[in-house]
Amino acid sequence: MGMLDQAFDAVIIGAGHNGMALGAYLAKSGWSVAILERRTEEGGGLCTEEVTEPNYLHNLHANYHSLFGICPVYDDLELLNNGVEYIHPAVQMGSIFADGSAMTIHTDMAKTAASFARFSQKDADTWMRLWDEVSGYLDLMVRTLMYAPPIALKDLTRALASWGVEDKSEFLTARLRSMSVVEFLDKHFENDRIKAMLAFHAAICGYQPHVRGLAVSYPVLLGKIANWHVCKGGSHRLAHALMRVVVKAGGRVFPQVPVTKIVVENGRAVGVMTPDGFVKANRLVASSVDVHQTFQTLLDQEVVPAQTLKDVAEVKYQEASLFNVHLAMNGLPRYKAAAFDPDIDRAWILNIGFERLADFEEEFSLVRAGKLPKVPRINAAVNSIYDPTDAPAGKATGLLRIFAPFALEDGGAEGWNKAARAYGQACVDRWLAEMVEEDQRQLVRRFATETPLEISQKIINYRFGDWMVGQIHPKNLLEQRPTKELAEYRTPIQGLYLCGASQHPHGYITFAPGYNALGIIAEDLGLDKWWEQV
Amino acid sequence: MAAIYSDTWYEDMKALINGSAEFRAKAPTQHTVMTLEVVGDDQSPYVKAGKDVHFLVVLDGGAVVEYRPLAARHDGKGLNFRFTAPATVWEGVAAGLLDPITSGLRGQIKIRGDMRFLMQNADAVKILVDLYGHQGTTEWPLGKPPYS
Repeated sequence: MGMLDQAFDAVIIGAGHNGMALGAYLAKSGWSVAILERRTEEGGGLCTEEVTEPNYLHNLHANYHSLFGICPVYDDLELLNNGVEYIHPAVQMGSIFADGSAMTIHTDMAKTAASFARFSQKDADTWMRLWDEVSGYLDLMVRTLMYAPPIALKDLTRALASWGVEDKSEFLTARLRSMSVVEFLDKHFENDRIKAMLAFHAAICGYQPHVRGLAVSYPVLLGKIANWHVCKGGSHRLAHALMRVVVKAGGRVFPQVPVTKIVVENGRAVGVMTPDGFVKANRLVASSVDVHQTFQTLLDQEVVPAQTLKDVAEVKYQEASLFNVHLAMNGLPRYKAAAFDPDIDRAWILNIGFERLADFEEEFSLVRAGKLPKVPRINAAVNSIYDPTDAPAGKATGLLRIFAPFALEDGGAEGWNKAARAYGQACVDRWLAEMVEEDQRQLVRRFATETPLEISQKIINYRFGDWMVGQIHPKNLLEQRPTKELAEYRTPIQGLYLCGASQHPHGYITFAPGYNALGIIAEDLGLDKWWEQV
Repeated sequence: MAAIYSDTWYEDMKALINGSAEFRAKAPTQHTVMTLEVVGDDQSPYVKAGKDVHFLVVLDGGAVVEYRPLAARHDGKGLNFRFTAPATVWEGVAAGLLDPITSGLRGQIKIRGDMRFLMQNADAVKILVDLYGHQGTTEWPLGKPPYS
């Protein structure tokens, strides 16, 4: 029996990890669930393809899994029993600097401190105090700020003040709500390179270091700095595991079934239209696509309150997308900077080009102007260092990324079609310049580029190539994301919920929007929260 | 003065909290069920390593309506919050030697439940922990923390 003429308790739009997780929980709760996906494969940003050569597996979008072991969804849905395997790189990140020195962040924080100490003993000591402090409240803060519907910022800061947290903590203060990551780092650290390394971590998490107010989330970000995991065999393995859980629980996933309309009758979402016909939703429709698609494309405008439409129209996206260069390589990279710090050859994620905090301001200013830096500042990740299964024996894959404008000053978004290959080569050349001589000549076999325009076309949720699906800015976080009215995952349309990365907290492989929407749905519809362990 | 973990001690704590006009003014009115788990360690003479002490605190209408020991760990049904800490930490708090907020920030006290509720009732939480740590009178028949 096909999908048509069927009714489901829940119809979920989009088979990204948030929609799939919500569907899995609901199916495990005994509901009939249909997840409708436009693309041919489930997973959304959990997308792994052979874009360079056969048997070289490239994660096109989601590559960093930093919530494993923290996010409750992995255990609740038993994802590790359904085909997911994670690798925890011992050397998580590193920086290579222009003078040939290098810095590394390890899972063993004593080694991180030792690396920092080569640049500043004072900062190494500060880092260990910060790390010890953050480690104490990370679990509490993550569950408060991520795996719960958004708390009002004023409640958060008032509680910190009432409890006298400023007197009990060196780093948590109510002032964080008005500080940037740069200001936080300038306040506590002295060495430019250590500050740049830590700001790089914020930047690749989507937090632009100069944006005021983002320091409020920075301690939580720092707490995860050594929790970055490689998904063995590619990020799509996580999507496949979610699929297994959904299907085992009796749910169904329909690829290549784009939703064209959310059908509303008497103020209530009753189902969705697809090119093949109507799919009825007995209890709810949950949209995991971005708010603009949900409210401007999928809903008839007359069924949405005017103020809701107005607020949605004002939701902004990140100024910086990514330009990706996927590499097929003849082996693992060997950096000249290993002469300074041998561990740099084992660093999974690498910063090449950000040497001081001002570099970030310059980089994002260029992005805002639609320009590309002449010398690319690179965020490199060589998964094969830790997961040799993602390439043929003895070979390796790699990923170079730069922060990039969606629309170029020269030619707009389509300008990338002309610029991509040459700029991709510039990125490769910049990276190879850090290699030992032999690798410079022969390491890279082939590369494939992926522009912000292509990202937005492949994953249409990533409007303007924004992988966070909404600006990371104090005006678009917590109880204001995506709008005040929609922040609690409910909509003015009865029976229509939002469970995608437009919602709190944001994009990335967090599962949090789906998980939090689940909690709200459970409250509204009287579902037993079997997953919640108090 | 009642001995720690004695029936009278629980009753005294309940009376102490309900006797606070400040707490009653700030306390949430919702029915709120909390359990405190005291995990035995090698230092406390009251809760030995491998043993646990559990007690239940129920708030309703802005007052404590139950404050009593439990025979076993709460199964979680109907529970809003679970606070778990080693015996030396709880007893340090009860003796006024440790600040429970600091202990929470350091991860010594684990908190399960909706933190938004605690933050929205931050003043009541502050009063409660002050009462627990600084105004309760506790007898320490086997020695007071740090026990020597």
